[in-house]
Amino acid sequence: MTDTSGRSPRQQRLSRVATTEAGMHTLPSVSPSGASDDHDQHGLTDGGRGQFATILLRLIGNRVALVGLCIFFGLIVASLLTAWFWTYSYTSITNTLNAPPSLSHPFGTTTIGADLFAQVMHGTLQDIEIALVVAVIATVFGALVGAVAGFYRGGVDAGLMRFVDLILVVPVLAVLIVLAHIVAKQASSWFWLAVIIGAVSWTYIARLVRADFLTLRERDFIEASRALGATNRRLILRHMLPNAMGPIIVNATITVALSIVLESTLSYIGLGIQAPNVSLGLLVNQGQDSATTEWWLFVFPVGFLVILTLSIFFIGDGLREAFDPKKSRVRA
Amino acid sequence: MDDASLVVEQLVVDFAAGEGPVHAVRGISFSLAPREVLGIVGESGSGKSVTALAAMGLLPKNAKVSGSITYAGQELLGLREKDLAKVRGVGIAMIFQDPMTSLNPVYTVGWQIAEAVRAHQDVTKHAALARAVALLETVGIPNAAERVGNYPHEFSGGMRQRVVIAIAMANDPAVILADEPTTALDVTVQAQVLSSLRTALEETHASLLLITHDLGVIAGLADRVLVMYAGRPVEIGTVEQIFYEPAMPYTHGLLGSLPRLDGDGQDRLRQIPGSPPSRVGDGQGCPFAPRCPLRADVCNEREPELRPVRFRPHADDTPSGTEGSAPHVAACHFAEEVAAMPVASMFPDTSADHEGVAP
Repeated sequence: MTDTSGRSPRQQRLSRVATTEAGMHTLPSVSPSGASDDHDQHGLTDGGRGQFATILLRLIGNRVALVGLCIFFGLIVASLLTAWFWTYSYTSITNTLNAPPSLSHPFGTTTIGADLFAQVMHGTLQDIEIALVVAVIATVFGALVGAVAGFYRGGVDAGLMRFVDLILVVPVLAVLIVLAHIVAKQASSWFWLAVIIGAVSWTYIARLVRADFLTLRERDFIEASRALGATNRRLILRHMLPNAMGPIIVNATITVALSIVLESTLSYIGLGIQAPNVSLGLLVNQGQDSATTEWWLFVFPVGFLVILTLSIFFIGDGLREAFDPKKSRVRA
Repeated sequence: MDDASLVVEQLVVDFAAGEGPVHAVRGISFSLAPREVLGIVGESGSGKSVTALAAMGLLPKNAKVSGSITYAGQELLGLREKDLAKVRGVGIAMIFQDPMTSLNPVYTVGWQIAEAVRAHQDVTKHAALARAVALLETVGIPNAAERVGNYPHEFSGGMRQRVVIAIAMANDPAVILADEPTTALDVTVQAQVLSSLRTALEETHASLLLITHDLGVIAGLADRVLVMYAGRPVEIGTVEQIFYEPAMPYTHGLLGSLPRLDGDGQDRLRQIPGSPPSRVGDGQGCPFAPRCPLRADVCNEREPELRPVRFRPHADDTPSGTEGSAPHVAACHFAEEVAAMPVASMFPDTSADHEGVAP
């Protein structure tokens, strides 16, 4: 950057600009709420990655989100470590039946002698996997459908929204039971389970995004971008979707929580996660009968389910603020 | 700069509405020479903005547009969206009325200017960003290199409008359409924005279609003025002609409703009584007749066409009817008489609050 000899004037001017930016970081903040200036500088250095870095920095700057992130990734790391280093695997059966928590079995053992700690940790990982797949499928598909419907309106909108209505009125559980019955026999059935749950949960996001797009498309800056020669595709993906990020993220986190609940419902009727695989929902359902006598069978899975869901909500809340330049300015 | 200019001919825009078509624009023709500034004035609903939006192809789907709008010899009406996108921004750029809402709130201003640059030019992100800084400097944003990283909400209204101007300049357009660029701003900020606009015109050598209802803005910036009323041009002339020899009662009324610094300050503003006619259905006669102090029978029978004003004794006595050589045209049966009257004296010196209010 410092060697500008032999460059065109434009490049020289460019590197001057870049140097100024780099210099900004070392300067004391000028603006009263200066902390986010740093982030903004990151935001402009580059399009895609720069913006990602900006959002990440804002996310970490948010205390609640940071707690959520720590718990979430802590759970993942803990489950992985458990799988690799813990004495028992979630499939192994011991001779100790129905034992309360002890040093050798921190969460106790189940009625058939499995180590509950190994099972809870594996179930947590399993739930995270399912929830993430569901969230990605439902959010991406739902947001795109909603965006297209809200942007084009008219016939496209009517067609897509009637399709959404159709999905909404179909009794979810009946469909899930039929489909889950089929995929339960497949290998890696949890993935297909997640796909099925995703296939029924995208409609809420689609309706939200459509509503948002109906107002966004009338905003002046969309018309201004169009007046600059932006294509519809660009308007939707680069201009309107980022503006609809708040509701999308909030709904994605709700979807994550709901998918965990849905999964446990399916597990309850025997069509979710199949043994020997375990999920938190499965464990809760197995443990609820003995909640008063063998309390550990119920308390530990429920506790982890709550902590996991809460951490996802925290992250979602932080993400929503990180995507909103005005909000994060106040926070950071 | 090539010979690119905007030619609008017999533009008619109707909107489909429940109670029949609304005639928003009823036949407007003008041409914009390179580097010329044409001001369009008229009160709300006179069809000013619709004319500009039609040129950009941004009218809603329920608008029925006919006539012709050509840019650099290319007909814009009926052009496919894909081809329009190539003209937008590069050939014709637009500045919108409200800077508070015409910038995307989730991107930095630098990103938005760079986006405009990269939409039509094959340059790297860094080059586009450097251009953004240069553009911000041009429009008078202090500390441009720092401010490119700011979000729109960190800018004041006037600065945002300058950013909008910078975006409009980004691709050196041949024509800039400014739709009431200063209406949402207060007066001191208006002056700054207008000077930025002037700089933009010098830098890009663009011609400007300046839509406003502020005659002060017109006086400061425009070469020629087109006065619109009820969807039609009622008077076209140079700034001097419009301001000193208005030949249409409506123009008189507009000028009379302005506060003047050169008067003694004791005069009341003279308002134009009544309100603009509804544009649903077809009216007969001059649309301004109901509000006009000079109306005669002929006004109710026949709508006057635009015709050259033969007012000045020393002017060419036989102006040819062709456009361009007859710079001052007005749509009034009594254009010459009107032009001879002292400016702004036509409407009575009363205002509505005299009635029904105790003195």
